[in-house]
Amino acid sequence: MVTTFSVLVENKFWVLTRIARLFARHMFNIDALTVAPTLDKDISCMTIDVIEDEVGVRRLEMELKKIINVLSVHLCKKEDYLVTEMALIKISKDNQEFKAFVKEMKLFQARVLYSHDDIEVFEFSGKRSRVNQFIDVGLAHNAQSVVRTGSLAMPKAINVITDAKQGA
Amino acid sequence: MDKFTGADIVLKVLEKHGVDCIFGYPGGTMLPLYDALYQHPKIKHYLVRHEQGAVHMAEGYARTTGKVGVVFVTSGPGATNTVTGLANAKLDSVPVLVITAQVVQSLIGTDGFQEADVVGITIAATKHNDLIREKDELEKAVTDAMYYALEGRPGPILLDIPKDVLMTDVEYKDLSVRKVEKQVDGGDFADAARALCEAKRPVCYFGGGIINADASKELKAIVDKLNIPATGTLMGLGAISGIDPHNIGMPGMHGTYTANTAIHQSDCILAAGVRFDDRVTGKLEEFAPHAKIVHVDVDDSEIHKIRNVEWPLVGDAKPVLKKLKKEIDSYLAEGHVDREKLMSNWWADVNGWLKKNPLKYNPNKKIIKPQSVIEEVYTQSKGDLIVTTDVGQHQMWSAQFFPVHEPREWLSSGGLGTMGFGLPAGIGAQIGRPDKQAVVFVGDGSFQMTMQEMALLMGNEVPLKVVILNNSSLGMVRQWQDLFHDKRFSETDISISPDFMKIADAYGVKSRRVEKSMDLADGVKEMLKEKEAFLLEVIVDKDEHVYPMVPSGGAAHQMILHPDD
Repeated sequence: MVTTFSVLVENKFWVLTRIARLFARHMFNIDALTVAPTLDKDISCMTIDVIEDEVGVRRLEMELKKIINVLSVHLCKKEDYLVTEMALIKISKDNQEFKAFVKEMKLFQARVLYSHDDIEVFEFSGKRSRVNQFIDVGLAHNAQSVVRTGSLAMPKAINVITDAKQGA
Repeated sequence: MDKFTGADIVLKVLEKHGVDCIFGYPGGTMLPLYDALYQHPKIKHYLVRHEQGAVHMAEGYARTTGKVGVVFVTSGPGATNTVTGLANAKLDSVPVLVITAQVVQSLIGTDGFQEADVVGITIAATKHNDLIREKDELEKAVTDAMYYALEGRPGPILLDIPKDVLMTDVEYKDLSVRKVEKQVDGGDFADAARALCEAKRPVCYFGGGIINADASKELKAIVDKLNIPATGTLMGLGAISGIDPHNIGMPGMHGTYTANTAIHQSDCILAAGVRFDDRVTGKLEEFAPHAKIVHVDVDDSEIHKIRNVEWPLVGDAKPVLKKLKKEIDSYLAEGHVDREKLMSNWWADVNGWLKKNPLKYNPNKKIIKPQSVIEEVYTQSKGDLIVTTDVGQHQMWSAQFFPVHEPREWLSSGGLGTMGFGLPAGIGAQIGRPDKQAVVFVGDGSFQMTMQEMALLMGNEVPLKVVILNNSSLGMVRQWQDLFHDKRFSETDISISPDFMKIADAYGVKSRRVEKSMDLADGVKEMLKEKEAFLLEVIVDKDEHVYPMVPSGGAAHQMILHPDD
């Protein structure tokens, strides 16, 4: 099962290496990873997807918290977090399936990100299962290429911003 | 505010933290720091002969004093040579701070002379490390490093400081020392106390965490109150005295029959400052199969890591055990259980095992048995020594036959099993505790890994006693070859070795070689009487094995006993 961690870290050299190493060290593979600075440019938010059992997830949570550059670790449970992903699909207008594909895209409310001569790129974001369906539709209509992000997570509660470790 | 060079700032912060000695080795990149050191006579520097030795010395110093051991080394090879020491300190949770010089920032990443990606190389071998790029961050980085080394679960910290940062003038802010808070993080103390009080076959299994937390007194208070058998791991020896009537010896691969059997039959274990290492548990499925477990640990990533436990008590062992004791007292005061009756049956069993299968060997009038050397040193010194060991058979015999009396008076490489640890760690221990004699037990193989550090024994500054148990082989590997590889002694014969008497002589250290049993007592006496450093080489039986033994992956209660049993 996919588990999503939302991790606040110091925006510094080596932090990504420390975290990547930690996963590899425990023989866990990072399925997807999204990183960007928060409103505080000294702090970055990493959203990390892993496919692990409960024991592995707990282990990772504990180990992540031990890294000194890690300020907080949250497990993004469905009840508490909005989790969304994004995918892009590129399709040729010469494609016989193009018209049918565009029809499907309307159902997804996917937007045209780019349109040029013989190519169109569609963008869709939503929960993982919907993104999977979006990509499946693309593949079924002989799309040229597909690319997707990992998860992006936000707590639903209004007052949760950060709970950075003391002294960090 | 006053301005100082980065190098001065490093030393000022270290001085402020009470650092009075440093183990290290200079080099081109490190010159600014050594130049500044020249002007800080309050800090004594010990010049090692290899950087690995510097880290082991710092570990020895840290383990005996409880303070952070500090190391200075230069960039490139100076830094990479510390990796084994760092990994050792990481696995055994020893607070050390290694400061490595780095090439000037304009050369970083260019494969400059003596440039290595030290932070990248040591991420996995440290609790934390950092490259200090901004001169203004230096003072805080060193202050934080001293804190992180000791905070929570102690460990090694490395700071990589480019030469330009060391040379640039910067304001000294006089930041205050960060105090390490010793606190209880959580757990169901009342229920854990009830379980321990009601247990019919309780065992206390304690480890290095008790030593790090200076929680021996608190642990002993519980063991005494509940009157339960206690077994200490290699890292925990001395936390409860080896001659305490509750102490049933070490558990695990070369532990006592009694300790392993008691754990196997136990219904409730107080696991204090331990991490259920495979050398203790043996085959995990058969480790303490009937026991519910109260696990005390400062590092919550250790909870449920190897063994699922019923009562995790997380926090520094000292306040945690204090709180647990209070709960135990109040539960017992309610008079629910008749402790005396509960314990009399259990102790009858335990005492029966102690009597049936004690640690044993067959003394020999001709060939010296290695165990007898350890026993002789123990008897003559009345155990009043700081004992350091290297890694191998002699390490296990030392753990078995030298019952350590006090915490912080036993040093060994536990987790990493680093050959070459003994001599430098012993030097660091003796420097940390000049008031007490330190002795190193070392094998002829281990000794040759770091014997260049004998140079620190010159000039009578460090009156360390070194006992080489020479069996002309890599004994522990040879034992496995004998037992599990049909006596194919592949590359474990080291009979072609230097003359250790000449080595001692070359370093100006007094020495004696003992080859006959009849001379052993006199040799040990001469060593212990000597005020200066001394090297005692004892030629021992190379066919002697360490027993009992749990074969790798075997169940701990099904150990191989001494062939005579």
